[in-house]
Amino acid sequence: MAAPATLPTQGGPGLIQRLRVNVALGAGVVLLVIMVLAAVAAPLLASSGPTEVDLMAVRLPPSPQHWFGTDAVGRDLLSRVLYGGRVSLLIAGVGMIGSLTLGTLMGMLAAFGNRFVRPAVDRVIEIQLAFPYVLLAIAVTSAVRPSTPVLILLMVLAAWAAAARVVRAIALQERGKDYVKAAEVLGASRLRIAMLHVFPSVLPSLVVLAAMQMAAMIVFEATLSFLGMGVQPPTPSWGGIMLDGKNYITSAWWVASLPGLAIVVTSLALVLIGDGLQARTEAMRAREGDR
Amino acid sequence: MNAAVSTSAGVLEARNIVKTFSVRREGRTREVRAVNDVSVAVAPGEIVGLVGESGCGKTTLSRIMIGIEQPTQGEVRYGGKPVADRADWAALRRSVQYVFQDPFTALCPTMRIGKALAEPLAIHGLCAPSERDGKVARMLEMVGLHPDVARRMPNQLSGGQRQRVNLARALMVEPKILICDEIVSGLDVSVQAQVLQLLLDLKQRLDLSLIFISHDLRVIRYLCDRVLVMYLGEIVEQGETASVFDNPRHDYTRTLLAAIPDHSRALAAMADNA
Repeated sequence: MAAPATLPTQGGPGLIQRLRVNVALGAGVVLLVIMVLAAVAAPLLASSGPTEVDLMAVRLPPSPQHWFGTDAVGRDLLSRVLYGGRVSLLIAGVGMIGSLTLGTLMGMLAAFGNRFVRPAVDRVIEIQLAFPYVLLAIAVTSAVRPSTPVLILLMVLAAWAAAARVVRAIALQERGKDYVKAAEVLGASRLRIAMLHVFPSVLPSLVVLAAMQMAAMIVFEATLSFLGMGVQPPTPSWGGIMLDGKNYITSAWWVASLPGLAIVVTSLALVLIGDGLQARTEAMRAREGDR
Repeated sequence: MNAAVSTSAGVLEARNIVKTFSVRREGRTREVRAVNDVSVAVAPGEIVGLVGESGCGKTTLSRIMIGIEQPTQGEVRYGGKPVADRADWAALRRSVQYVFQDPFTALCPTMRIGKALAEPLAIHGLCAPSERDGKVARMLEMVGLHPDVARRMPNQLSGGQRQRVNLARALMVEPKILICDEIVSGLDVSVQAQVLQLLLDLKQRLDLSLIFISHDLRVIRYLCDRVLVMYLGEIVEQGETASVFDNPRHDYTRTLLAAIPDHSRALAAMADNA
């Protein structure tokens, strides 16, 4: 009866599927490392400052001097994309951490709160999930001046509920298991069970969420900056540079599309990592004989 | 009614327990009585067996007695007083403990064995933090495991080892009564015998009372002083183990006994051993 649980990887993923997962995960990690290193090393790699204007070199196409070309006021686009990466990645990272922290807290409350807290948190999550975040962003930025802290706050508000729902689902599933009942019988408090017994089981999924949310955050930052509600000029961010290039999309395609490419590559890398980690945690659970 | 008032200290008693579940089938809700007006008591030093087929309500009854499930009707009493609120249950769980049926789900998968065993000590402040490791090591030895097991994760242990750990963990709070729900049914037959022998040893050494739940009559016969036979949520027969086995009065008990493979030979073998 207990034997199947100890058998190694029976019915687990086959060799080809495991290989595919590993290749995807590896590719994601390599791409992400490249993007992050490029952003970190921006001062070393960039040929000029991100806000240095050269009116003699306006809207030049990509060339050996300006690999990514220049924009409407003659700023080197590669430099702007490199420095913009620092801003975009930093904001997305802070937003992701904030969203996961709030989401985990609320998700655990939705699973372990008392009988008044649980339904209340559930309703808040539902309302937040139903609320269109771009609308929320427009409402907030028309009330207060757009700035980086406001942007991060908006990103946290937009994303925490999705994280909370995942955490809640896993925590509720774990809560019904015998080991939680065993801890209760031994006198463990609800807080203790939530923190020491159940949270470690939530952790692997939280790592997957971190990658997925980071990707969403990068796109969200770009969206808001592109709409003029995010990072304010002249500070470069990927979405902001795309906004600069919007008016010249037919005459100078590189200004809008090359920062767009950076967004695509980075979020693709993060999604590949997230998918790969997800497959790994699932395989790990199957191996553990988690019933 | 008055006959059941054996209110001496240390007696765990379930009185007139009824538990109904609502089952929905084809759009209609039906009440199912999992436990129907059942009373059980266990006195200090006793081993009470609860036997019956799967789904007869014995697990539900045992879970009600430790407060993991609430009865629809009836009450649990400990030391002559009803166990009513949260504080009462907390007090009861200092002297009554429970070992779960499935050794694979009853241990937190992310917690090292040593930490899992030290946890009850930490929760109840039973000893100084510096003494915990020593107590855990001694307890591991008592249940027949090497103290190094403390450093392992649950998934590195076999079913029998895990069940020994579960037993050890329940014993950390030094209970007087231990409820064991089918604790050997998930184990290989050879391991079953070892765990049962261990249980008997511990019972002697720690002066425990046991409620031992099983569907295996041979195990019950080997272990218990008194046996209650459950069938479809009711107790159909109870008495001294020997008299129930040698002289069953209820048809269901006879059917159960007849279903034991080589019953007469097994009895003879046990008689030889005794």
